[in-house]
Amino acid sequence: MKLLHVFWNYIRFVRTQGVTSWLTLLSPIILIVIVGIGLNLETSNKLHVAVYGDDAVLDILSGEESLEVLQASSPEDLQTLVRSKQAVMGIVVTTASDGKHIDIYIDSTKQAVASSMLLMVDKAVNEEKSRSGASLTAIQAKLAPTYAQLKEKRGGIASFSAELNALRQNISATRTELQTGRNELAAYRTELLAYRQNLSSLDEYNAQLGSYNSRLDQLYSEIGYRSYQRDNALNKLSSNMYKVSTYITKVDTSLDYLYYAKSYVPTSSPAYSYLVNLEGELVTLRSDLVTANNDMAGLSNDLAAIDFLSMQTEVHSVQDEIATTQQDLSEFRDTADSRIASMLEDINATDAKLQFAISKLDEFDSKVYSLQSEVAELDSLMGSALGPLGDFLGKKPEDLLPPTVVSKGVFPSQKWIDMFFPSLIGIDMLLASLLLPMIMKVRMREQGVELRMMRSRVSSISVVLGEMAANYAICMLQLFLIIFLGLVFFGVQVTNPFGLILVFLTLPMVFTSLGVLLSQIVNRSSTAFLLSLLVGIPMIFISGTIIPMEFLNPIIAMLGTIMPLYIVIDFGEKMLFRNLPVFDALLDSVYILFFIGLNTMASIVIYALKR
Amino acid sequence: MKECSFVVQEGEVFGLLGSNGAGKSTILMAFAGLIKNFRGDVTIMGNDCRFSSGINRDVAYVPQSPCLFFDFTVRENLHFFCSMEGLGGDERESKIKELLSKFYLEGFADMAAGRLSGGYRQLLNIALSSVLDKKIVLMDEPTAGLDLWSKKKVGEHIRELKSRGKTVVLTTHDLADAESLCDNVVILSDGRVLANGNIRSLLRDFGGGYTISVSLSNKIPKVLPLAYSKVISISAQRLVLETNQADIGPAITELVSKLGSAGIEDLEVREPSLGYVFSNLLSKVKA
Repeated sequence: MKLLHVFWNYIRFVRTQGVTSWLTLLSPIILIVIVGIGLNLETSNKLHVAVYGDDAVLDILSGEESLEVLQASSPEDLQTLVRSKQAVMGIVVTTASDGKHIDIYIDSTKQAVASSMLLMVDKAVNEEKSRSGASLTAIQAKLAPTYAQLKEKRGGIASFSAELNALRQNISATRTELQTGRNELAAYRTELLAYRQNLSSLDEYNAQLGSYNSRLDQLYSEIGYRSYQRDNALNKLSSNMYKVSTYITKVDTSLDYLYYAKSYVPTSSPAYSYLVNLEGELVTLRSDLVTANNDMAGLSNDLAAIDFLSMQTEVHSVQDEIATTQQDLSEFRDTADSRIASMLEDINATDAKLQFAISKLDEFDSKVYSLQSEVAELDSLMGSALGPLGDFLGKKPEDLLPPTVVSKGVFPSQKWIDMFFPSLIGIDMLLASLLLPMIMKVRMREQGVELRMMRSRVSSISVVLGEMAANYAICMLQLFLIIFLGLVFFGVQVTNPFGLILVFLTLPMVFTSLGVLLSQIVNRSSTAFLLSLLVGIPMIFISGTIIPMEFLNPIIAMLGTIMPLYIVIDFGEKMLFRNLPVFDALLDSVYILFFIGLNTMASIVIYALKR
Repeated sequence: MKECSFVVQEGEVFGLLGSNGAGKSTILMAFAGLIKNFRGDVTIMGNDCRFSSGINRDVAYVPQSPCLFFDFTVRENLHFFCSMEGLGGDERESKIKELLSKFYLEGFADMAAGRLSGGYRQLLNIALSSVLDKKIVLMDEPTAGLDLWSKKKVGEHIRELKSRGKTVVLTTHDLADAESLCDNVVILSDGRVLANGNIRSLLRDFGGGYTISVSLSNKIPKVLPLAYSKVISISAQRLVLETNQADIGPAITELVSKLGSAGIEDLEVREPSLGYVFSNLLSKVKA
């Protein structure tokens, strides 16, 4: 009975201890609920993996439901994705002459996640290798006829190359001929131009003919005039001949008279002689007259015989011929001129065509030359490919080269202590900075000092900020010692001293501000301890410090990422070893400042309300 | 607290009397502005005590338990709280010196406050509340648990405050102290005012009883019931009884006759006291 009494008494006592009991009982339950939800693997977070390259292994990994594959633009980009926590692992697949290389970049702070993912990579590599081996025979079977055709074709390449050479020679000969044709055309054109130049002399000749024609006109007129003059002369001659005839008659008459006179004059008489003389004279005269008359008759006949009309006709005929000749010359000139122009145009067109043909031939020759080079190169390539292809066709599936898998870190240092140093100091600051203000405040409350201070003239802001600054200074001292120990005794390497200073200044304030806020509402040391556990332990569990975020339920993981512990560790990692620009921690910095400000304001308000 | 209404006059020492849980400290804390969530009015010089900024300027509060840094020295405590009250430099040093002297702490100035005896600790507690010379001093059980010397010194301090025109409101369940220190008292029980007024008038009105204390050399025999007195407390060899003025003689006779065999070593008769008043009122309420 006493035992039962003690039992029930104890139960009642526990029940009456209020917050302390509740926190004691609820803390583990809350912790287990949070961690349990967080570790519900059926809805676990997808693991982010960055990939670079184009390979079947990456395709296989992309098919993994538990993976979220991020395509990196370069190996450097891939490393940045890993360093900035956007991916737990980066995989670069390259293929070289010595086989496939798989470089795996791991966020060394997440070894557990990385190990899990490495198994997936290993599985993907084996699956790919298995697929490759299975398909090798089929590929070889497909390639074998191609290989034979290639070998045969390579034999044809030499004759093709010789044909190309002959073609080039033909092209060259054709080009020479065309060029000769062009030269000839040029000479022909020069001659035509000279000929066209000479055609201008036809104009002079035609003009000369014109002048001849004019002169023939004059001659025609002259002939007419001469005909007129002849007719006049003929008339005069007829008249003179008549006169002469008359004279002859008269001479005859005279002679008759003379005869008669003579008959009357003695022979011996001087008169006679005279008469005889006279008779002789008259006879001469008459002979002369007859002669003259005959001459004139002959002349008249001659004159009459002159055929001025035919001459004029002849002149006309000549003029007609000249006109015809002029016409012909003019037509000839025009025809020749137009023909020459046409021929020049034809020559120019032909020359242009020849030139175009030559340029095309040059182009063609160049293409044939490049084709020749490519053929030579193709021949060389085929020569170099046929050997390995022959080797490949002779390969057996088991001969395939396994990929070279190399695991690499993305951080300058790979020491565990370096990578987990931010987490260590984050957790230390969480526990120390959270608990110290609460414990001290409870102690001050227990000693009644808070009551006295609340009744003093000091302002709430001074009290809260003063206590916060004191806690901050103490935690800074603690953090300084931890950093000193880390640097000096554990050889922690810090790549960014400026970042270390920022971490040193920032981290203590984050949890100090939270601790000061909680200290405003905590009345017992036991409550302080329990509250720090209730706040701190779940935060440690869901902030990725112990259980990787990637293993947590997405909602819990998201909750974890807004926890101050996650933020300060993230900030510390970025500052200390992730080798990222300070700008990358800007969001963390804003969160930290906001968190500190909010806690400080809330602390002041609560303290002021309590007064 | 309910049906609780009284007025404290300026310059008097006013006592809040009552047993544990009667509401004395609660009322005092309401005066000090430390409790704000209540119905009714608590005013000091017309100011609502809920708005403590105005009250703090005029009211000093001496908590029941010493409120001080136990691990700091006496001087350090005085130094800190003088600073909190806005004193600095020579003024602060002068005040520290004055308080050390006034509260007999000079010899312990550099001793950790936690190592002080209860009496000196309470003196330091009062000293810390006396940094500023305020018009009203609220003292919660200032003499509780103190030795006679300390009680005396605390009493002297209260009288000195009164002599300087300060108003002192104190709580105590030590009725003797109340009698010796207070001008007026209010007697509380379960948050109610049982009586309120001058000590003398209370004694007159409610203090009819005399107290008889008997110490025996042997175990007390079975004597109850007694005809002329009633038992207030009883232990193995000590008996405290109460009776009225008219029955004092028969009561003593009855006791001697009934307890004589047990060997009476000491018998003391006391006049009516505030304690009697208190128990009288309490029994009436319970009745």
